[in-house]
Amino acid sequence: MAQPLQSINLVAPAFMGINTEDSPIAQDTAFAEVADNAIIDRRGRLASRKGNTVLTTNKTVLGTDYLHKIHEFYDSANNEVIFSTGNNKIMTGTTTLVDATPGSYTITANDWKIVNFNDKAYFFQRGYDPLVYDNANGLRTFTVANSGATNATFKANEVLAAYGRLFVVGNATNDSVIYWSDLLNGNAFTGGSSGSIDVTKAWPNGFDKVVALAAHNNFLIVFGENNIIVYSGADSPASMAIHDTIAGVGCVDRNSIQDIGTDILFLTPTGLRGLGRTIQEKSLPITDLSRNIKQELIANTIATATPVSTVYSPENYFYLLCFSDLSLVYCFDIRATLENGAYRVTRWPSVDFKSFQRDRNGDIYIGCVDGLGKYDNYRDNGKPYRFRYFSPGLTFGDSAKIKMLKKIRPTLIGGNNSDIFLKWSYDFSTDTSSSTFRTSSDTPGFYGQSEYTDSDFSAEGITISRNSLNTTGYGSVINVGLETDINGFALSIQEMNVLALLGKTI
Amino acid sequence: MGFLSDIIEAFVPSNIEDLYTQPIPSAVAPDVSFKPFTVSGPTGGANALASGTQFALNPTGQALQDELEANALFRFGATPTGYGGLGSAREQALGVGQQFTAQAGNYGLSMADREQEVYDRIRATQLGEEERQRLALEERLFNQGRMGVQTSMFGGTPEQFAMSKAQAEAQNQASLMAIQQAQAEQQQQAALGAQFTTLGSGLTAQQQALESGQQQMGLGALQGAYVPQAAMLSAFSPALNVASLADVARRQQGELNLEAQMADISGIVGQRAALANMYGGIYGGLGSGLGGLLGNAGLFTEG
Repeated sequence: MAQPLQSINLVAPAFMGINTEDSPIAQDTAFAEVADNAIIDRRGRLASRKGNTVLTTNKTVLGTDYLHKIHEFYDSANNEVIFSTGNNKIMTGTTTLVDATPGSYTITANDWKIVNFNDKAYFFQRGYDPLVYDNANGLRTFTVANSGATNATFKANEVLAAYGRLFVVGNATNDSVIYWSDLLNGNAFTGGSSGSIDVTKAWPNGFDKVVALAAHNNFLIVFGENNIIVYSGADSPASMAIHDTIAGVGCVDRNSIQDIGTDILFLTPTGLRGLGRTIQEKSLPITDLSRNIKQELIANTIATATPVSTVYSPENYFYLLCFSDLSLVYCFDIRATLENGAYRVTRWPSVDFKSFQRDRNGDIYIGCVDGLGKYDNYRDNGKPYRFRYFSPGLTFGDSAKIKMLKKIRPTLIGGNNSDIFLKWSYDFSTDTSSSTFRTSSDTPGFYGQSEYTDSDFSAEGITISRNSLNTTGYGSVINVGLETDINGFALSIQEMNVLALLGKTI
Repeated sequence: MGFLSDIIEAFVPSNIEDLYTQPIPSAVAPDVSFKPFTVSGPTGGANALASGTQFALNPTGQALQDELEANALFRFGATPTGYGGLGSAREQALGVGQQFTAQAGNYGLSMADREQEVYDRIRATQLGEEERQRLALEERLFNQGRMGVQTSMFGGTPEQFAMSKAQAEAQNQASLMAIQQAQAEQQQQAALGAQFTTLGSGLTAQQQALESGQQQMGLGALQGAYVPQAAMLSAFSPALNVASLADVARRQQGELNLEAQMADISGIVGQRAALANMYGGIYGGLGSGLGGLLGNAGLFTEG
C-alpha cells in the first residue's frame, strides 16, 4: 500500500541561526546545523553575507602583514582620515596606504585602541607613548604634543572617550588604576580635573584586572577578566560611585566591546554577553547571547592567540566577532533575541577578515592582508566564497521510523546563475548525497540603471528559483542543506520543502 | 703775838676789843623738814614718809589689780582664740593662691607649651569623632568602590578633601581655642591666685587683728588693773596738796624765822660796826694830836 509523502516545510530555514548546543534531533527546524558565510537578511531569511571589496591598491607599507585596526577619524570641520595599523606602522589612506607613524617613534606591536575625542584622535597601546592626531598638527606623540615626557602610567592599553574625558587603564605594570583626563583635554592626565581610581579593592570577587572600559547611560562600566563594576555618575568621575557589580563575568578582550545603543555587547570567557538593563535600571542582569554556540565559542575564545575584532552595524543588524588567527567570524543578528535569550548567529569560516570599522555612513571597513576593504558586493577581493546551509536533524515527528527522502524543493532568492549543491544525509553521517542545479540567470534590474532591459520583465528584480530535486536513500534522521559559491550575487533561502516517505519502525 | 697785838692790847680798851672779839650770835635754821603724813581713800591709803611713800590698796582693789594684771599677762602671753584656725586657713589660702599663681605661670611651661597641651587635649576630644568620620567615609568610599580615587583638584575624592578641609579647620580652630584657652586659663589662674592670696592676706590681717585685739584686751586688763591704784592716787593728790600747804606754811615760817634771826644778827653787826667807827675816829684824832704835839720828834725816832 502506498504511503503518503510526509512533508516538512522549512520556512525561512535557519532564520534562528545555528545551534550547536541542543540535540540535533530535538531542535526547532528553524535552527541550522551549519550556516556558513550567512546572515539573516532583512526579511528574516538565511542569506549570503556580503563580500570584501578591497579598496587598497597599494599596500607596500603594509607588507605581508594585515590590518590589525581600522579607525575613522572625523572632526567638527568634517575632516576625515581613515587610519589603519599593521606591520608595526600607523597608516592613512584607503587605496594607497601611507605610513603616518611619527618619526623616531618605534612600534613593535599592533594592538592599538583608537578613539575620537574633541576633534582629535587618540591612539593608545600598552607601553607606548600615546599618539594624538588632529587636522592641524597631524599625528604626534603625547611627548611632542605636551612638550614633555609622558608618564609611563599613561601608556595605557585601554582608552575610552566618554563624558568629556579620556579614561585610560592598563599600563606596563598596572591594570587596576583607571586614569581620566582633564575635561575636554585628552592630552592632559595631570592637573585640572584629571584623576584616577584604583579599583583593586572594588572588585566584587577577589582580585581582577581591568580589561576594558565602556560608557553607557551615564555609567562607566569597568570590565575585569572575571568581574564587572558599573560606576554611576561618571560624568563627574571624582564622585562616581559603584552602581552595580557583577561577579564571575568578565571580558576577555577590549576589542569585543560594542555599544549597540540599548545594550553593550562584550565577549566573556563563557561567550558573548550583554549588559541588559532592567526597566528600573537598578541592576544589570547578564544575558548569554551566544548560548546557541556556547561551547564552540568558548573553545575558539581559548584557542585564539590574537586580539579579536568586532563591529556593530545597525544597518546590517549584526555584530561581527572575528577570531583573526582562526579565520573565523561569528555574525550575531541583533534584531531580537530568541526565546532562550540568545542572538541568532551564523559563521563566516575561512575568511581573511582581520579587523573592522564602521564609518559614519554605515559602511563597514574590513582589514585584511590585502589592505582595506569594504563590506560590499558579493565577492571577497574578487573571489567567490562558499555559502553553506545544513539543517538540524529532521525526524518528521518520529525518530524511530525509517524515512526515505523523496524530494527537496528549495525556494531560493537571488544567486544569479549560481550552481546550487543540494545535500542530504542520513543519521548524522558526514557522507552526504548531493544534487546540483543552477539558479536562473536573471539579472536584477533597477530603475535608472537597467531601464528598458530584460529586467523590465523580471520579477521585481529578484531572481527566484524553485527547483524540485529528487533524492535517494533512507534513514531515521535526515539532514538537508545546500552549498553554493557566492560570486557577485546574493542568495537567500526562502524555504525548503522536504518530502519523505515514512517506512517501518526500526 | 706781835708787836701790834701788844700795842692793841696795851692801848685798846676791852669794850672796843670786844667789838671785835665777841662772837656774833648765830642764826639757827628753822625746822622745815618733811613731815610724814598718811592718806586714806576708798580703795586704799598712802603713807608719805621721808623715806618714801607707801601705797596700799585695800583688799578689793588689790584683788582686782592682781586679777587684771594676771589677765593682762595671760593676754600678752596667750594665742588669741581662732588664731590657729585662721593661720591654717591663711596658709591654705596662700598655698592655693601660690598654686594658682604657679599654674598661671604654667608650672614653668612656656605659653607655647601650654597651648600645645591644650591643643593636644582639644584634638584628643576631636580625634575619636574624626576617626569615626574617617572610617565611615572610608567605608562609604569602599562601598562605592572609590577607595583608590586620586584627583588633581582634591588629592583624593571630593569627600576626602572636604573632610581633610574640615579637619584642618578643626585643627585651626583647636589651635585658636588652645591659644585663647591658655590665655584664659592663665588669667583665671592668676585671678584665682590673686583671690586666694588676697584671702590669705585678709586672714593674715584678721590674725593681726586678733593679736591686736588680744593685746588690746591685755592692755585693757592692764589698764583696769591700775584703776584702783589710780583711784587711790587720785585720792592721794588732794591730800598731797593739803600736805603741801602745811609744808609751805612750815617752810615759810622757817624762812620768816630765819629772816628774823638774820635781821637780828645784821643789827648786831651794824651796831658793832658803828661803835668800831666811832672808836676809830676817836683814836684817830687822838693820834694826830699827839703827833703834832711831839713835833718833829715824835715818839718814834728813827734810829
